[in-house]
Amino acid sequence: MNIAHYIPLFPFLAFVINIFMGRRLKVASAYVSIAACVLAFIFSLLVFQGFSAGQGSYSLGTWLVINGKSLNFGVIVDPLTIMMLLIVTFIGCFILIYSIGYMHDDPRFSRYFAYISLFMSSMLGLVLADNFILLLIFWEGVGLCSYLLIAFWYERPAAAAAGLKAFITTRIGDTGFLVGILILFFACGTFHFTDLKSVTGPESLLTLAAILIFTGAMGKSAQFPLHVWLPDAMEGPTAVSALIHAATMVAAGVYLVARCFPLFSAHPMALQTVAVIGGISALMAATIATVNNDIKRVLAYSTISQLGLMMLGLGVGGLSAGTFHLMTHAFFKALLFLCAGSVIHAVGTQDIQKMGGLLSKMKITGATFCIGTLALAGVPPFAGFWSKDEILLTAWNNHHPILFVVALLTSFLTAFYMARLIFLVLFGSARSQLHAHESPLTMTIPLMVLSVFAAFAGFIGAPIKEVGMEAHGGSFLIMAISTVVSLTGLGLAYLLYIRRIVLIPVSSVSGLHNLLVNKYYIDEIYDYVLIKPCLRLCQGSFVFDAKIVDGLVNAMASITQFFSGLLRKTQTGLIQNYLFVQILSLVLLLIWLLKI
Amino acid sequence: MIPLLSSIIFLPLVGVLLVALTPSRLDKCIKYTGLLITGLGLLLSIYLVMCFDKTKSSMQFVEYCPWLTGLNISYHLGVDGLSLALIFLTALLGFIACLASLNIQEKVKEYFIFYFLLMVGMFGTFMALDLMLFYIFWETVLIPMYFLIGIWGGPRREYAAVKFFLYTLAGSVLMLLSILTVYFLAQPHTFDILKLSSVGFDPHWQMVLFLGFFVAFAVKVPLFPFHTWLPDAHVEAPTPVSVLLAGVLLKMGGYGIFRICLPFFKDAAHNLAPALAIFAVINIVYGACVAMAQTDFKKMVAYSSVSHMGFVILGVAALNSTGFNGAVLEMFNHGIITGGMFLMVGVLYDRAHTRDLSQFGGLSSSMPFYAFCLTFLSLASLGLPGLSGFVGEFLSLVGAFGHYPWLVVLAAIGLIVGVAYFLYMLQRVLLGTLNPKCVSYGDMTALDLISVVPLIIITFIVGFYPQIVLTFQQVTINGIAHLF
Amino acid sequence: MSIQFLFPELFLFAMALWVLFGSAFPSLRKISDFFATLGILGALLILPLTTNSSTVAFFDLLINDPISYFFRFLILLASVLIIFLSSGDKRIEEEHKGEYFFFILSLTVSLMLAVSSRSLLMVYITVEAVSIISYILIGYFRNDKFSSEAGLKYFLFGALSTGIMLYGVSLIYGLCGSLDLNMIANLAQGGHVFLPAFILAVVFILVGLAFKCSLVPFHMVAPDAYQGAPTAVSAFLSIGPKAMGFALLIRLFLTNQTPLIPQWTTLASGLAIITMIIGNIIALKQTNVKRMLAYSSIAHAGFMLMALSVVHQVGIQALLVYLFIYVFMNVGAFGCVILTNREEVDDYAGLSRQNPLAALIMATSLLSLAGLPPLAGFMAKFVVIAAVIQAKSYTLALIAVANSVVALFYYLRIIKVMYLSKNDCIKPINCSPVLILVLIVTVIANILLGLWPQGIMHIITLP
Repeated sequence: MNIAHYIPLFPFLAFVINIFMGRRLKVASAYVSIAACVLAFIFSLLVFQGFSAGQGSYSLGTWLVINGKSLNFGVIVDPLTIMMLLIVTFIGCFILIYSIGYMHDDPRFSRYFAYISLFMSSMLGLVLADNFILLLIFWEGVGLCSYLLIAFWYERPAAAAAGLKAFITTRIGDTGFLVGILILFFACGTFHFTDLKSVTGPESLLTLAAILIFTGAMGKSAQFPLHVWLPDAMEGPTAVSALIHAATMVAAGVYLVARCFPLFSAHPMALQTVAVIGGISALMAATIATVNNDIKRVLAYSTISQLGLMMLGLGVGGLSAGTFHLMTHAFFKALLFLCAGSVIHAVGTQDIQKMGGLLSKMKITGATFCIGTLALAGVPPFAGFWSKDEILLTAWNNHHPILFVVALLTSFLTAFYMARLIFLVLFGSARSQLHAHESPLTMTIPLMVLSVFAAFAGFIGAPIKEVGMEAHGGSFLIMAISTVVSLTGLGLAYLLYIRRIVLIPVSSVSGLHNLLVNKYYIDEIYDYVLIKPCLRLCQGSFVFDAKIVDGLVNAMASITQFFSGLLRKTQTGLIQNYLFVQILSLVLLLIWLLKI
Repeated sequence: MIPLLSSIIFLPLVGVLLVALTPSRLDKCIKYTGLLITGLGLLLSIYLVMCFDKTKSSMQFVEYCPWLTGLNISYHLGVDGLSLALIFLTALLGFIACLASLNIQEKVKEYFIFYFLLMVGMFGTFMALDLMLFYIFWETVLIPMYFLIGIWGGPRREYAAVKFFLYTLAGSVLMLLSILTVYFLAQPHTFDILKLSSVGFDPHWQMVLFLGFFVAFAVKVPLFPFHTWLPDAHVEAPTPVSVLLAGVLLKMGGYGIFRICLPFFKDAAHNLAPALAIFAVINIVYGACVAMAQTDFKKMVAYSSVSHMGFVILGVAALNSTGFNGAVLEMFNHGIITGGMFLMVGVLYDRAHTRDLSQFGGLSSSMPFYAFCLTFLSLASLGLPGLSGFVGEFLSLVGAFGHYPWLVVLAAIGLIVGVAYFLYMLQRVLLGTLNPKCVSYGDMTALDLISVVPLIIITFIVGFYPQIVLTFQQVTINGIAHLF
Repeated sequence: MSIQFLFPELFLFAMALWVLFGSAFPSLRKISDFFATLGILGALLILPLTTNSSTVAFFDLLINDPISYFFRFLILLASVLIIFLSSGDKRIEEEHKGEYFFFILSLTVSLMLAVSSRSLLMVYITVEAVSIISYILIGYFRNDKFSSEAGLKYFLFGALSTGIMLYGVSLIYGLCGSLDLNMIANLAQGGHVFLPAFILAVVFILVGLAFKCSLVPFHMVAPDAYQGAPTAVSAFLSIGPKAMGFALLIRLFLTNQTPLIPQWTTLASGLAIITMIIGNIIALKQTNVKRMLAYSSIAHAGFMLMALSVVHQVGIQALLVYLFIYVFMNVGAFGCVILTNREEVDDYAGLSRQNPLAALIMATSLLSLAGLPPLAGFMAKFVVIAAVIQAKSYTLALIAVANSVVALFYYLRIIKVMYLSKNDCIKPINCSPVLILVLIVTVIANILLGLWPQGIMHIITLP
């Protein structure tokens, strides 16, 4: 029974219902979305069951014919897809439930659920698509929803600008992606993922194609240097940040690399690029997160960092490690965002310097926040520990010492900034007048459920097993190192933010501090190097168009008019001139004809 | 058996008669006549689509009768997969623009007379199989268009109308010369497009004639540097006329290239394809850049047309079936999407009487339907995969990629600018806090919605399942592609 | 019986005399336009009867061939239209009406004789007759300074031109010993003449004819004359003498479809090019509609001459089609000037609101003159360009079409003012029913001949 393709239809239906009847449905629109999501989840389970019973990918019919090759509406069913389906629908369900409480007094309540449903639909379509083009459609679909949801509170100029930035930045990556697909198509004539295992073609071209496809992933997964949109995307509702900008959509880039893994693993250069970009992103974002004071932005940088870690994991050859971390990260990062949302909901600010001591006022939120933090920090036995360990292990085993160190450093920083976050938010004493209160049940139940998964999902183990990866040489040593590193991070933060021990005077590292606070000036660099020149180019082309191109056209008319005025003067009205012209013309004519 | 094609062409002439006989004070009556006639035209064209045999590559519904025997000119009509979609597009936009014309206040009678004459010219151009007939229909479009822009247009309408007229005429007189040269070069002398397609001209001549025809088509398309009439004409034209101008008139250029330039002058097409590709990419990137710099809403959409039509030329330059299919599909899609965009501009202009993008803001709050439609069409226009704009552009890119990878990369980068200016526009119009000036603007009326929603639905369906259009054209287009 | 050949002319002349006679009696004078019309229509009825008569008449002075038949028909047609225009023109005063129509009819007769000439003697006589009558008609408004001045200018200029022509005629006679065009052609084509001298003589004659056709640079006086003359006369001058000039060019230079002098194609193309360019470019800046139409008619003359540069039957045929259509276009345009009573371009402001019909007629005529399909002017241009292309003169064709773009600009200017201008110029319209009728006829002709030029193609099929 081929039912996988129905999965995206449920949320889509919910989208249609909510967008057209949302005003009448009011709060019920949330239930429509949730019902659709639950159905999608059930169907995902059924697909899982079917897959276990041996059912696989299938095709629904021709979508396009390109160069004589037909491109199908195809559905791919494999462990990777099933994992993604389950994550999206499962986490999605809880985030939707959470949103009922979080968005309850928003005037565009139903619109919100419509967008979220559309997002779910696209995301599910994305993971089910069996070829690049279909994937691209849904890929852009999720991008669109991301845009709509970032700019959801469009009255705020910052939100509108953030949406624009997100769309354009990811689009830059997508352009590379598109070109990559084209190169791949021309190098080996296929758009289908299933063919990637056996593609043959010019080595350099395929490497280039893989790297370009990776730029798409960079855009979507906010990898350096296309990461700039994600922190700004925090202008959207926090539940959106949890679902889209932490758990699912941003993981699409990782999914894409995992999906094309045969292509990447066959071309070491491409794989290397993935690992290096991932490493840079991981480290860079983690350092920025250590100084940021916005609760959501810290989490956003953490997301970039963790996605970088996943990329690193994939890049060092760890398909299972990368996807495992994707899964665990989805749980605990969604949880963290929802906790942050709950906090923001309660205190009405995002500045962690103004918070403090919230644990006592918000017990559930505080507790779950802590669990999420431990999971992210990689403290055993929480979920993050297992998957991060897997990445470290793969890096070590596959002889990437530098990347191993980078990953280790990242996990140290992760533990540090997360600890800093919770110490500043939950512990200590309130640093401003806050009337915090615990959030309603619709918000806390999802927190509790997710925290269970954040705690124990690690025991599920990597969903995708690779042949030859079972033998974990030296795994215990690495586990120990990683645990120590995490605990060191936590401890350092404890010293700094609870004990308030000044290890190094801030003034001595103010340069570094400024660099980090200003996010390595990457936005500013973009502004100067890319955006301003681009706008100037556009303005210049307009002036060129108006003055030169159109100017030439008008000049032609003017020149003709000018000659008209000139020639008109020959018509003096004086008969003697006319007679003179007559005789002169006659003479000239004769000279011409007789060649005198 | 009634001649279907002639009925479609000359039905608007019946409209001219009816309107001419109606006293001008009954302007309601005239408007309903307009709706009736264009509606009937739409029904006829739907009937045409239903009767069309997708599997045949030859001409269908052929009508032939000698006309000017002394000059060897005949009345020869036919439809194939290339023209079918464009005829449907013409009928559809003709009807929708007619709905939008219900807002016309002054000189309703004259307006509809010119409107109908325009329809005759547009239909005829897409159906004519005789070069002279084609030329006559082609030129017939100019006069009503001149008046429609010139009388019912904006403040600079005189300049725009004259510019449009002279510019396009300058292009088309070259076509006239080329037509005559083709006629005398072909043995036996003939104006028959189908016969001429198999003549095979002398390579030296092919180059000259290709360019002769091409300039005429390039002006219409419009291809850089022949595009400057377009922004002026669009900005000044009333909304329905802009819709037809962008939706149909620009397609006449692309259609001409497919119908005449490619089959007649294969060698020249081969030799000139790289140059075409370069100009196409200039169109795409340059059009997008200039659009980005606009502050006038309509001018921005006009330049976006320049950018999008670049994909048509890029598809042509690909010289393979993928590129050709992409180009023809892009023509259809662009007609639908940009037609819709101009309607949206018109809706806003009706309320604000300005098109300055800085005069709006936050309209999402006060005009939710408008916000939805505008966002949808903008997304389609910027080539969001899943909506129709993408498919044509993508096929063009794929088709051209094999020959000109670097140009395609450049074009793809142009797409980023395309995203930027559309989103920037959306941001200025819909997002942000509600501009106090815009508080009183009502949302789209039922009439506005009726005209835009069909376009949105088509955009969505074609984007999600492009085969629905492609199957009609594939056989014919592949036939043209096989020539290369 | 060669007299049979002249029946139309004779009838017309008799009628002219009757009109002149009648002008002495106010009651008859009032309806002199009626008699004039009657004369033309009678002549038109008689004309077909002359086809059966001998091919040459009156000691070989006249020739009866399809070309002369066509031109006589054309001139009669133009003449009847002009008479209608004149009778609608309120400026033509009652008391001089008789003389006016007498001169119109005389001019018609002279033109008809001219186009049938086979001898240079006949050519000279008729051309001179046409000139003299033209002076009188141009200066018809004796009290109008411009009219008298224009008449005088036309007289002086014409005198010089015909003088030069006469000199050429005598040279030819000296060289060939004959004034018979056929004989001259045979001698020249056979190479039996001293070519430089012959060319000299021929060019002298050409000057006289070029003046009649208003070809640049012999056009100088035409705009002044057209502007000053009564509008109907301007219309006639832009058609009748022009047709005559081209008929004589055909007779003189293209007998047996062989050029009289080897340089003919170069000469004709060269003159055609400068005529088109100068005519069109100067027309761009004109503010007086009649003057603009004068330049436009100069440009059209260039187009027609271009057809003759194609030394082939097709070229001649194209010229004939062009002339035929040109009659309707030009009568339409000049007629609107009479109808609307406006001479300045700016006066046409808002005409479409004041009188939509007048504006429509004017617009149709102008667009037809501009050569836009589906109007007749397009077919006219089309056949000429087709002929030129067939002769492989691509550059010439290119220049011609480029010119038609320039021309569109000044035609559009009037249309623009009529339709697009916001402010109105309120001036009474000259609502003569005859005038409106004849203008509607021209509009219909402009449309019908554009859609179905087959009809005239048939008339002019040459042997």
